Amino acid sequence: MEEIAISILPVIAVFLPLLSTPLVFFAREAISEDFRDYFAIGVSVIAFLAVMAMIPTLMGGKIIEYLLISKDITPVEVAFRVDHLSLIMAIFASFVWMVATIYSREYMDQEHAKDRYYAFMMLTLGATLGIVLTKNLFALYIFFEMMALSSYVLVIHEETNEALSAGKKYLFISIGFGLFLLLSILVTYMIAGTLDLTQIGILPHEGASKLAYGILFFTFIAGFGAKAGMFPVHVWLPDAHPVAPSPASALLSGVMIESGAYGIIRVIYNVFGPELVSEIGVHIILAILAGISIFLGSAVAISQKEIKRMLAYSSISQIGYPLLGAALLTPSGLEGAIFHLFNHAFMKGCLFLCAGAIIHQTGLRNIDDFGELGQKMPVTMLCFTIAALSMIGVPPLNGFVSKWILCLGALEAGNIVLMLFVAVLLLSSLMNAIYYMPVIIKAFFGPRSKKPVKKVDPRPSMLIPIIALALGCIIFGIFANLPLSIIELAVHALLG
Amino acid sequence: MSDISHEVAHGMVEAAHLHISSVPVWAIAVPLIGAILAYVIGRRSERARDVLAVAITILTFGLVASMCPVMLSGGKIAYTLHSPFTLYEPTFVVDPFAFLIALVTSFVWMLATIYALSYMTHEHARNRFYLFSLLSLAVDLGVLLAGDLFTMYIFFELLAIFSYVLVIHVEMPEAMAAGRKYLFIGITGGLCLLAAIFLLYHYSGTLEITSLAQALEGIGYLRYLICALMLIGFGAKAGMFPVHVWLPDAHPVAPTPASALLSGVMIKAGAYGIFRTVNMIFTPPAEVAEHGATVIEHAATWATATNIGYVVIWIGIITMFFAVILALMQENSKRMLAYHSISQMGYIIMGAGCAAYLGADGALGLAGGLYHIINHALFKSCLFLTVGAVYYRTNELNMYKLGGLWREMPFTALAMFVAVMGISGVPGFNGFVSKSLLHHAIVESYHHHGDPLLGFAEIIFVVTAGGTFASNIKMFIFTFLGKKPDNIKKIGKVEPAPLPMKIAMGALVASIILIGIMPNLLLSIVVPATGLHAFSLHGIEHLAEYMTHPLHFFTAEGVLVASTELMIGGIIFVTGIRFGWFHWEHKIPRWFGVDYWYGQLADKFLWLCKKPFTAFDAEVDKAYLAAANGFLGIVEPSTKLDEDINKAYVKGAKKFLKLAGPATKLDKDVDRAYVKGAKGFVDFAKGPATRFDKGVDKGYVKGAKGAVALARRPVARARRVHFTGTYDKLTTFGADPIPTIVVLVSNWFMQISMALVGIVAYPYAFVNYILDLISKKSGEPITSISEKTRQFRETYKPTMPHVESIGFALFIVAVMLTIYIIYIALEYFLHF
Repeated sequence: MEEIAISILPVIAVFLPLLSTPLVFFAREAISEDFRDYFAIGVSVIAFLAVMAMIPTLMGGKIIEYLLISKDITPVEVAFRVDHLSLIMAIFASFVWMVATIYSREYMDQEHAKDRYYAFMMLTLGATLGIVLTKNLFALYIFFEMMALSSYVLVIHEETNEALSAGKKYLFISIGFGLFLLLSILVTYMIAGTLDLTQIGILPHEGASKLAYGILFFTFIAGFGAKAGMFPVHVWLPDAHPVAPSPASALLSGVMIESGAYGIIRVIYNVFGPELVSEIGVHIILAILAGISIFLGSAVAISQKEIKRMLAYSSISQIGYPLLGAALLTPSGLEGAIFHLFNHAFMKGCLFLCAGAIIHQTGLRNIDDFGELGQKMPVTMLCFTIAALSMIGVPPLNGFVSKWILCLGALEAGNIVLMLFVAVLLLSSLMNAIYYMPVIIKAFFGPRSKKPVKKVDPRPSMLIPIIALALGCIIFGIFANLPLSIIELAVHALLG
Repeated sequence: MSDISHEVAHGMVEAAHLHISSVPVWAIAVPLIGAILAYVIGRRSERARDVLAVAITILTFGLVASMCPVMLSGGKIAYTLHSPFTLYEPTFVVDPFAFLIALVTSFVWMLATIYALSYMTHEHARNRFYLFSLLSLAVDLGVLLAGDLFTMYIFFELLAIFSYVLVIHVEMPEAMAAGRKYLFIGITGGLCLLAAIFLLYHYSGTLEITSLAQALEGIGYLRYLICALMLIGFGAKAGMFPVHVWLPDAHPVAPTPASALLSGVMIKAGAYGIFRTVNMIFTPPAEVAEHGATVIEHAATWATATNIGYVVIWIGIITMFFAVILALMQENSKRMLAYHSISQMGYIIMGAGCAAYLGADGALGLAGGLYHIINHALFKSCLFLTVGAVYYRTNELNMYKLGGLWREMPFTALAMFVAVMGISGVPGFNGFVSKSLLHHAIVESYHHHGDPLLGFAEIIFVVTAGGTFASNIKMFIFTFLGKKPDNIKKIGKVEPAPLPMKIAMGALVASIILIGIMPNLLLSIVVPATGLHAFSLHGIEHLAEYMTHPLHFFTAEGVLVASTELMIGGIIFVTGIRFGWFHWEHKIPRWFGVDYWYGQLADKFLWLCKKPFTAFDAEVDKAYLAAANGFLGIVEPSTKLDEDINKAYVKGAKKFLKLAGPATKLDKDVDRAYVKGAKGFVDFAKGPATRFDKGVDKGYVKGAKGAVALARRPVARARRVHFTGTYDKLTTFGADPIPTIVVLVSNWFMQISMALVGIVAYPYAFVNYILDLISKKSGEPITSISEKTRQFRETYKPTMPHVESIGFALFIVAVMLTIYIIYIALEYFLHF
């Protein structure tokens, strides 16, 4: 039986950003613009520190819980529960958020409606942390919808026609598939009588027919997968991610789609349980969908010319890895899946912030114009290179390590269909090289760009976030056991 | 067989001691750290950086060479970096086999760096060159010294990335194209290798580089797939057919010191991997072969090794033969040398194949292959450096546009001549020794099972050696002998090579001649290297014999083979020149080369990605749009219906309004009638009715007064009759004080008790009622609030007051206050 520690830290991490939203919104009018920026940064730092403060307790083998409103008062309990999976998600989510918020100060310099931007950044941060830290599937749903709606405002920030139409797509797909999620949660409650994410598999084996469970599984997958950007519910992603301001893109691609993947992991391991899933055999279908995501995302990314759109397609491909890993139902597969979520946040966060720095400094978006950028913006492009090489899976960077573990997991599965995914993963690495390498080569060794580029690396307030994420790619590649020690405990808890 | 050689051989096999030392780690760390240091310093002072770069390579060479004593005694050096934070603990294992390649790698690197001091003055981005050159040195040594496949793979992949920057250094379009090919074949090969490592790890459970053949026996033909993947992975780096296509493009475009390194030593990392795969991972462990008798027990394992060996021999033969033919047809000296690298790599791969094919008797093949790795590193880098020296002075790489330079560049001419003799296997130069060993090996393979095809292979071997001689001597003759062509005359006096170049070339020339004259020098390490593999003592003894009697190399047979090769070479050269065979390259159709098909494959794959897959993605997007439109399609008719209904209403309303016209008139008429009527009524009311009313009123008043007067008497009478007690007194004598106080007190008592009920009893009852409801719902008994509160505390042990308990308290207070206020209000309005 797991030991439970009571701590208010998760409440701070979730409610501080949520409650700070109106304060951030009115901070400029009340005090000053600088104060608003620093206040938002401060809130994100405190949220990060609150998450980090939970590490010692969890490394001690305990689980943090906090009951906010008990079941005796309201029909659905509102409680927080931080297990190891939640913790690792919260760590990188809050870290990348903090970094992106710091980055925003310089990046959003010339933008309009900054009050709205910062306020919704905080609201979305609270909602995202709520998703991963909550104990109950129903509360998770509420936070999930809150994240979808509040991030809509970030997507349409530019308010161009393009952004608005992308936002519309995002909104309707979010709401539409959110209803799938609500339906499946209701059905789960009817069958299982509980929505707590505390045990492995709350659905009883005899609860319903295989077919019914299969349908339930895929309504869940549709709901969470739409947010994750999984094929075939990914269509909003390549439109919505590039139009958002770069720090928001970094968060959308680096953190928010991963909360969808987090939901899928919870569904497989906590709602259904690996035994039930393998009994009804739906994991193979999920693995195939993930495989198509991996392959299609990379293939389409190859033909993209605009850097952010290419990165968005790359996200579709990369989110397939953890979904595949989760669908393998093997310890290494799950470990690799969670580790890849962690790594992808760093890699894609860094790449989007680099792309943002390039756009902010030079206004270039088309990869063909990137000649000579390596000389003009050496630090930015070096960080871009590190993150891109990590994406390709060059050792000893972190992307390689998670790919390594995922491949071992695929072999562990022992099922010939699942073992073939080793080939898919390796082929996808090659395809990643096909679209990332030309960017690097063009920037460092390519012919001079036709458009004259004068500006240099951005100011430290933008550069340090980029460097922090790139360093993360190196550190968590070489010293992979730092996050893996938490992830192993999470895997242990989820697979029994 | 002499006793001494027996003892030596025996000693080598027995004395495989394991030494723990961090030297291999330092040999990798020094250039790694030095690279960054050199880059930082290079931004301030180029001179300081040049000195530092050379110093680092010398230090690295010294570190590698310092492992020599252990290696000479046939021992191993192992080191594990203990770190709790890395996924696997990186291990480093150095055996004589790896040591020898590492030694020559660091040696050639040192010389190439010295050479670069003067050569690179003509190039841009020198800082970048030294950075990536030193990084490549570090990771190249990493590949050789790594003790497990994971560590090895990390360095192997990094080598591809770092050396890419050396390949594209000049940044010309052809360099970029060659670099792209290099990079993508490198990455693809790396991924094949990775797949093989996954499978190896999965089925054997270890990442150690050791004999896994027995562990892999149970997995059937999959082991051949693993082997093939590993061969592709390592072969792509080594320039093995058919994954060699990048090499003839990439090696010539790099700056000369880098070409020398790429061709001389970096491809050896691939060859090293092939040897490890074929002769270690897929053959039985060394212990098996120590005593010849046990060999039979592992017949199945040996059979795998033999099969693999046979295929690898032929890969080697094809590689050496086709490459030498293409080499003959080159004009560009560097491109020609690149083809020779492929060809010579064929010899080395063939050696690995022979060693596996011959099983326990394969010591010769391994020794020949390893020896040729060393020799090729020396003469190929020397050839590149001499060609580079000529290019440095004349800016010309086409050998047909050069000539007569030997007077002005005598040292370079001599160096190239020695290297040409080396690569051609002329007795007295280093190539002869290893080629003799390899020739023995292929002949022995032929005799082993008497496969006639292998007899044919031997002929190809000899012809290839002839072709090698022909093309290299052609380069030497066209470059240095004959008359100066006009374009060279225009330059005027050609300066001799600068001193650093001479030092580098001189050191290589010296080592080529030294090994050629004293072949036993390197054998003292080559023999221990064979001792680590599964070879019978007999074969190793045979080798050790050479070691103690170096003159055995120069037997009549050996010299005869060498002179046959030279003769064939001479014939090829003369006839080739006579009939113009050396210009046939462009006559070969493009589809004949593997390169063409790779290009096609890559193009098709990219086309697939860009066209159908992208289109498919767009289709998915469209499908969503269609679904949305379909939904709107349902919406539209219903909207229309809604509108129709609305219209109907409006119509109805209008019709109704039309009807309303007459009605209004009627209404107005009625209205008027009413008004008229009303006026008449009012007139009536004001006049007679009011008068009547007043009259009635007066009548009532009169009547009422009469009634009151009538009533007074009997009521007073009734009072007196009925109420005689206290109450009678109370009502009759209202001023009496005592009863008034009693009434007031009882009134206050009522008020207070009601308040108490409101504050305490009612909430109590309310909460109990709620809890009762909950307990009925949840099925657990709840006795009282205090009991429930106690349960609350025990279950949750809050560290600070729970929000919900505060809320509960506030709620109760609020309820009580509300009830009290309502009570007070009721009191006020009802009682006072």
